[in-house]
Amino acid sequence: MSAIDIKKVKTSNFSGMIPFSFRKLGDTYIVVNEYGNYVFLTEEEFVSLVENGPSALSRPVVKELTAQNMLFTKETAARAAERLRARFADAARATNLHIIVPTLRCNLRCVYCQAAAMSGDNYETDMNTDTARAVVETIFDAPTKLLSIEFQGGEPLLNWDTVKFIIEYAIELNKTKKRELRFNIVSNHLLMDDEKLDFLLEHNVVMCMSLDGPAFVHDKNRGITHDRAVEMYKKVYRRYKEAGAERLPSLIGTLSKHSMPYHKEIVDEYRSLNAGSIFMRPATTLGYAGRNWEEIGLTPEEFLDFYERMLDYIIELNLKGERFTETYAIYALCKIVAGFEPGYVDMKSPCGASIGQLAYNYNGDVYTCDEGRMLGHQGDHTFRVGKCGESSFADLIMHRATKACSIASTLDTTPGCSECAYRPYCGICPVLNYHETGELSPNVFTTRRHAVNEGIIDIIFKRLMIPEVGDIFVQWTKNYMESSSREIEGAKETEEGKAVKE
Amino acid sequence: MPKMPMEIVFDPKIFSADAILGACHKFLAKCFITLEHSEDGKRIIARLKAREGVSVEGLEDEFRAETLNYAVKQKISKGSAKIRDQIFHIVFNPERLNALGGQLQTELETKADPDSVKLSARLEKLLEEIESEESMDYEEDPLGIAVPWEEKHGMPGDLLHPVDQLKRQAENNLINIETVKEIVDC
Ligand code: SF4
Ligand code: SF4
Repeated sequence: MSAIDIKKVKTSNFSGMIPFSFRKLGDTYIVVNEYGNYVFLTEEEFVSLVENGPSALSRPVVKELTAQNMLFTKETAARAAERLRARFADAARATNLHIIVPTLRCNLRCVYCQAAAMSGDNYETDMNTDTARAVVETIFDAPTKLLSIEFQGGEPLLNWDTVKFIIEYAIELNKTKKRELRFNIVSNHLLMDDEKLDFLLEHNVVMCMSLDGPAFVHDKNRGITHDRAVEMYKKVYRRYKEAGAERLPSLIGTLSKHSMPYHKEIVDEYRSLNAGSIFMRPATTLGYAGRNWEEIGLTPEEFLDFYERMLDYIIELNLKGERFTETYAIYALCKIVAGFEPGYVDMKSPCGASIGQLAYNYNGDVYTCDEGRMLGHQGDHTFRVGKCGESSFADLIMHRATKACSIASTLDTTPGCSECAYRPYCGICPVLNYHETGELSPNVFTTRRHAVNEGIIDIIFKRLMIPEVGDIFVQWTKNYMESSSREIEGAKETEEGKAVKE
Repeated sequence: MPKMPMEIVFDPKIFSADAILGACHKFLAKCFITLEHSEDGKRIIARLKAREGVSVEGLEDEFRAETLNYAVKQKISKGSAKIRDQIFHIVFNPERLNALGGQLQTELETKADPDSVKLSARLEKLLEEIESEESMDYEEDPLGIAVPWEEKHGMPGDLLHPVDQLKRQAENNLINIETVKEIVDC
């Protein structure tokens, strides 16, 4: 039990401090101000801080508190305001990630498929050209400079003509609209051929392939496809590299129960493909995963156990001089060590539902996000915010589901989160909450997302306390921020956008 | 093995109902909880019954520790509420920053209770002393804890340093240039 004597803790002790919260990890207190700066204090220091106020602390501690913007001065007020302003500015920016589902058909049948994809002959779930045109026009309605169009599925390459049409039509429209256009495709690559590859390369389309690890893991989740997928990935990678593409193909993986013992093997597979980083997300309860949950689903504890082993292995590689990063850690570290918003829509407050991303189904229905769209596929259209060709961008943004998600994912007003030390770094998901509990805002402590996020941030902080690991983390953060600086510039609002808002 | 439901008694003069409710909210994932006043009305009694599969070992200590955490967090929140408000003002009206140290400071202090005035005076003195006597003497700071993160590790481009951010904002007319000059120059 803590040695704090609550009778000695007076509100006046904190009248010179920037608002903060705290969390005890082992013998250390992590003190985090509302804007994300943090300080590690020993138990003795922390008890003295809360019982007697900061002026009773030793000079080195006061200096550290000052350096980390914990004490109220003109400079710290300016910095805190700047961080807060950056957060608001981010939330007020128009949507720049637009996820399109050109088809629900898929050539695979992954055990955890969130998209609940259809078999290869369900052509009625292909997006037609009229709908595709309306989708692109709706996307250009978003008053933002950067427009990032991402194809997901189903397997997008199964409706290649529509993918091509969307890219060409967007480029055509952009001749007058003058936005910064980006294209991404998340694909299993199995249908890749030279014609497609040439087109994608020519139009700077960034490729992302799903890979769950070596064949004995990947194939268990996704059918016997590993070898062919890897072969295609290598080919795509080589072509992009030879062409000097600005952004090289990347990999993304999903974890199921089958993956649990293989943290090393999975990382090694990614290393062998020169991936440079790894992002393994746990399967969610959406789509087919819900039906197979007993067999494939992970408890938060299982995921965190895997994550910790994987992260430690990656740190070990870095300590030996290899540069290889882990993406969850980078997203959290950007906020922890640099107060920088990496824009990961699932770890933001408010989250990215509608305001950070919109998902366009094959039939032109628009959803708050891809997860909302997946729920729609299960027959629940709570998160449908409009229809292309009928709804304006303003309609989508003003839709009650958009507002409900923004409110339900704002941590400052969520009971439990509002007092939590990790609030500046965290994010909750109204769609998953609703799917798992029937409520947009359930008791956060009963949710999987809380358990996973709290666990990840604990794991990261524990390692930040180790100086040589802290240095590695800072390096990861800097590199990530450097590489994303162009995107941040691109995300600035257009004059047109400002006018729309006024 | 502790008896279920376990009874935990609080003195509301020491632990506010809000602090106890905060802990209950967190523990609802683990336990069924009822709250009531003691017969004489002088105590709050929490009755906890662990949900299936939840270990009861240490449950009482954990609950008490969580109540204490909430009680401390509430005091922090209350004590620093005025500063939170001021920072919000500055976000929407950067010129407000100019008022800090002058009118605003007085405003903050006169509204605060006498203890807090004493404490902030002490703290201000300490900060001034540290600044003047050492002028950030890094030799006496072998761990570099007084060195801001940005100086220790360098900043990637113009993305991060708060002063640079302010400059950039001024260029974009998002913030008053005079404010920036003042901050950058001081
Ligand atoms: S979800 Fe959990 S970890 Fe995240 S802010 Fe809320 S209480 Fe904290
Ligand atoms: S509702 Fe959930 S899935 Fe959708 S953007 Fe928000 S956090 Fe992400």
